[in-house]
Amino acid sequence: MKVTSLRNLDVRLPLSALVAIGFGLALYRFYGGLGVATNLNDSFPWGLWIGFDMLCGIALAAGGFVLAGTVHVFGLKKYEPFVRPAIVTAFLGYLLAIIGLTLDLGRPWAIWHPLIMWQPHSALFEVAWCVMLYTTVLFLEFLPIVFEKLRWSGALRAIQRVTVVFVFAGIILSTMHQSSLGSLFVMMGHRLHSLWFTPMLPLLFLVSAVAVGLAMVIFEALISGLIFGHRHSIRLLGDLAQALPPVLGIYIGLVLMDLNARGVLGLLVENSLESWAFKIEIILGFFLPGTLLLSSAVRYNRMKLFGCVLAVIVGVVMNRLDVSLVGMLATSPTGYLPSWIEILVTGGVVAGGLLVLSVMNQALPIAKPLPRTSFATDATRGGGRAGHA
Amino acid sequence: MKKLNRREFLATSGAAASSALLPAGEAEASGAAPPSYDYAEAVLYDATRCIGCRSCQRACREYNGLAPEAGELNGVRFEMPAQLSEEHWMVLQVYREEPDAAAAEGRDPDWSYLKRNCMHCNVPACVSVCPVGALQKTDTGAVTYDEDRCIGCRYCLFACPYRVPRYEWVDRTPRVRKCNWNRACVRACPVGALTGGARAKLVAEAHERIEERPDRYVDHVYGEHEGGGTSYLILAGVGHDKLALPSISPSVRSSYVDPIMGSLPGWIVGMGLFLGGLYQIERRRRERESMRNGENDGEGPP
Repeated sequence: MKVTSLRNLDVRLPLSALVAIGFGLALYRFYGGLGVATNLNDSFPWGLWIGFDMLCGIALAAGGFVLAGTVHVFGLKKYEPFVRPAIVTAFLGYLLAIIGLTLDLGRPWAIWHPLIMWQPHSALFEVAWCVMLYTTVLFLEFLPIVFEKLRWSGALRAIQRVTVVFVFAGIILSTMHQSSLGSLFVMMGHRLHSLWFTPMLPLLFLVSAVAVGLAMVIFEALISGLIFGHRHSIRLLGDLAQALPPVLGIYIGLVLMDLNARGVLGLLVENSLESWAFKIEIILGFFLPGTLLLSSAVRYNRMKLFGCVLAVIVGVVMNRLDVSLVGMLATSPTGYLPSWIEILVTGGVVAGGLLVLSVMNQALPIAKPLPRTSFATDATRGGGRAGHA
Repeated sequence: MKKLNRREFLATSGAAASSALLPAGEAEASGAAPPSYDYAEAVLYDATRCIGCRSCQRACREYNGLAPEAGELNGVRFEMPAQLSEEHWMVLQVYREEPDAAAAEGRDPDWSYLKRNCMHCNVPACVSVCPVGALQKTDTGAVTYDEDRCIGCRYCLFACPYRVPRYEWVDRTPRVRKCNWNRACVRACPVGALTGGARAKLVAEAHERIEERPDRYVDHVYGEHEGGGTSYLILAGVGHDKLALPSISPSVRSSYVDPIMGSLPGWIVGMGLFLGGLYQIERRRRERESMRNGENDGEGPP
């Protein structure tokens, strides 16, 4: 136990330092204004905090609804052990996205305005509502873990009785939210490079979010396996990875169809920054892992599986940054590179997420060795520690 | 960059018929004609009458209480902002053709002034993207901004095809800044380059001027059809592409995203039914299974 806490401290001290630095710089941003802390300007009004904290944060949180749906709606109960880590990650991901958004908004004290000031023609209005509602749903999906720890079996039984409602609401809200982040850019045909700008962006964002959601769940299981000892058989992880090739394939198919329909396939052979970014994104993040994961020799090998899901994560992160930053460069007279403050604040936000995750993993029954944690669980059995060695 | 017009957009979304997220509200979106604001107050700017005195610019600054730019010209303090900014909601720009290109054709280089400010679109992209309705198109033709509603997301800066809205970047309580349609500039113009009046009347007058002096004007009233039309109309002797005004199709830009937003209620109901159905099927299967196994371990909610 001593060894574990020492090792925890090794990780948590630098993380805390990053959080402190990020917090200080965030105060500076509020003191001086966005223009002082960031490299944003009138010709490039959205930067790293929207492109990474918001777009990538939400995409990487997609594992929550994908796994909840797989287990509770499609009834694939064997994947139940992944649901809780996925929900916790999604909850944290959304909280971090909200923090990023608060930093980025010019008038963050008015963040609640979409609640009463309706403008349903705006994709951002939909984003705002989805963030609020789905974060609430994730909190309710997260509560049973806390109740279990506190051994409040009455509350636990009550909340588990309505779990399926949260699951449904969560899936509907997530599909809307993931796609609405794409809809945001449908209004930017005059800004965004033709390789990425398409009226299909909402659908593409949704499909790639499903892919990266699955990839994140496997990625986390493999990482926590490395740190805390393997809890999930490679067979189970490999089986889950079987879903990736069809999803990635559908995505590539949609992208090629769309490029062809808009008559811009020729841009693929161009020698420009945008063209290369697009090719790397689609080949590294979608084509390669999608093809390799067809082979069972890759799927059922921890290292190779790890490489593949990492590629998917990198690919989708690249996609979001390409849509929000790289694809906008050509039409901005000033261009944009994030300032060191923007980067450090983002670093602090991510570090904060990892820090909370590490504390929660220790304090709450998230990655329980016993797989039965859903509404089907016998409530009185809960309350185990996080299963540290 | 390739521009997507309405027809192409619909064709693309047709090609993507597999997409459940797209069409739906398409029919009404394409059927409705954009509002014309024909009888709302508009402004016609005739660049060929403009003498570049910038009385309009000064009137704008004084009316709105904006700080003058501390510019310098050959060592003399001289205000001459060329770009819109949070302190300059309208600017006068000058275009001059490359002299060599004109000399090669044996003529004087083309040149023109251009008064730049918010176009006050009939169907403004900024209004359609604003999540809290801080930007509004009013019956007077103005596109107005309400800082008490604004959350500072800066989506309007991104969405405006004319790149008009500006932001107070170095400010703790930042606002979006742009022309507020007070028409101080029109009153200040000493040579009648700016004309106020009902939009329909001004469009007709612009076409009359072109007809009378076809040598003087390019046959294009910029703003008559652009993006569904604007309340600020520009008449010039030089093509709008040379004046760095964007080429915008007559289709209403905000309609790109309207079919997507319109499909959402259907999506919610459809997904609800789909998930509910799947869940019921799955629960029945489980019940049958547990009955066959002769045991009931209390699976599933009551």
